[in-house]
Amino acid sequence: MNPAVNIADLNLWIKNRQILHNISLRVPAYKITVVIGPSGSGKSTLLRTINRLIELTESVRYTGVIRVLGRDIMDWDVYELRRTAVYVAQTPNPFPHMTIYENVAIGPILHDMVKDKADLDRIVRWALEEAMLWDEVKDRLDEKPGVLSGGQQQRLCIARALALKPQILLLDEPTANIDPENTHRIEEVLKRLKDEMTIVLVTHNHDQAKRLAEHLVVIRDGRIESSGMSGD
Amino acid sequence: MSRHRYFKDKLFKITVFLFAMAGITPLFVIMSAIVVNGGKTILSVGPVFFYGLPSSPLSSSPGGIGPALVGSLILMFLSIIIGYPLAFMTAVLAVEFPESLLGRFIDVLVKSLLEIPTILIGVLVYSLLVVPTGNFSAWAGAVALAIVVLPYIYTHVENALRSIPVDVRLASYSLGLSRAKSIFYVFTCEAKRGLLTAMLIGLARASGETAPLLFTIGGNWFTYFQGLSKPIGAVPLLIYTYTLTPYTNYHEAAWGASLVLLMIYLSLFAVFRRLSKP
Repeated sequence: MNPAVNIADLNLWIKNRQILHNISLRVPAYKITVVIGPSGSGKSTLLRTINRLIELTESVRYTGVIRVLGRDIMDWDVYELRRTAVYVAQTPNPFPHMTIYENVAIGPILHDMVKDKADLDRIVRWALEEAMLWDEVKDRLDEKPGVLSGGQQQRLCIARALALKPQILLLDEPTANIDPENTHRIEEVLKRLKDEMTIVLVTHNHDQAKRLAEHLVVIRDGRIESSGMSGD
Repeated sequence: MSRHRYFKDKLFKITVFLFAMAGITPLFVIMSAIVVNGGKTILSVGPVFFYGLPSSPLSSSPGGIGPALVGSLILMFLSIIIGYPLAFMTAVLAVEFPESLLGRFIDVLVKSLLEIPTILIGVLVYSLLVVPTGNFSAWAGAVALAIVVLPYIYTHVENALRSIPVDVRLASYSLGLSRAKSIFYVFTCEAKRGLLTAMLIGLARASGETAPLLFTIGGNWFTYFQGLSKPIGAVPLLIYTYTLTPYTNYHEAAWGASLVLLMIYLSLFAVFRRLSKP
């Protein structure tokens, strides 16, 4: 099977400081790839480079080729690329002034993915169910996300990403700031989702990596130390 | 605390208090004079003061300020319609493209407008709109006021857009939303309180400006709004004009108009304060 993401000889600098060195990596499709490494090793930068979110950072330049679903990322429309490979940040970041419903609905609405309100309702419900959040919020969809716990907010962010029906989900330490129960739930969500999309998860938690990784990448000081399928 | 330090501390507190009192006394005197004199006029004329026409100079009644009041409201509205989108887009340029030469240049230029005497803006608009068309007009006044309010609105919109958390920006862009969609559907929603405040500040500025209207609107006190290309009245200009006349009843009307202007300003300021609270 073709890799969902294929990175060749990636070097990246931020303000002339090299962050990534000669990264070459194949991310298998419909598997959970876990990128693990110490803080500051370049994991998040690598993740944000895949969908060109890194370009929002000042003074970034990079060389090398990244192919997403077989196409060079520079040949993609950047917004389409980010919709196809959606990024979920470490800190839960729902839109605070929108309701829970609007948080999930805004992506499909602004990407013209829905025909009518019923269609939108279906997508919102589906995304919240996939993120295992529906039962907890179905009676308060009109409330602001501030009423949710940190773990629930993170699942809301995952639901917001899923509502775009992405083919690749890029997760940047999504359980770093939340309690064990919500961590467990998010891991369950990811295990369920891997049949529908490719997942790349960045973490520094070895136990989590062991629990989830089908493909494990170890990164240190901006270089890939090892990479292989789980059990290799 | 030693006796010496105790008295030094007391002296400092008293000095600060006295200077603060000296600072607010003129404001208190102005406001009380407007409330007392303006209140007298409005009570003597009654509700007609707000919608009636001016009386003749030798009449015993101050008359009404209807055309000027309506003119002021129209000019405030028009100046915001013109000035707000300009200020908003300029602020977007400065906030979203902070490294661009154009963004930085416009930021400096717009902020320097804050320091320009507003009468010069009136003269500029006079030469650009009044002279070529051959007459004073509501349009000319609205354009002059729009230029005056632009830097004030710009500053508040800029602050509102800059206050949007980085996380919210990241979330928007990570959903594949374009810059335009992010700005108009996400960032404006997050910053709506600040954006509304910017509008109120603009309205408050526009309500009280006199100098830019001296050479632009023509001061039509006797007929209600007749069209955008016709002369129009405004309360601040009416106060200025009436004060310069030797007629007692016009002076009384100017006091009443001052109270109306103060009420408009304080209403906007009250809403602004309410919105500014977290």
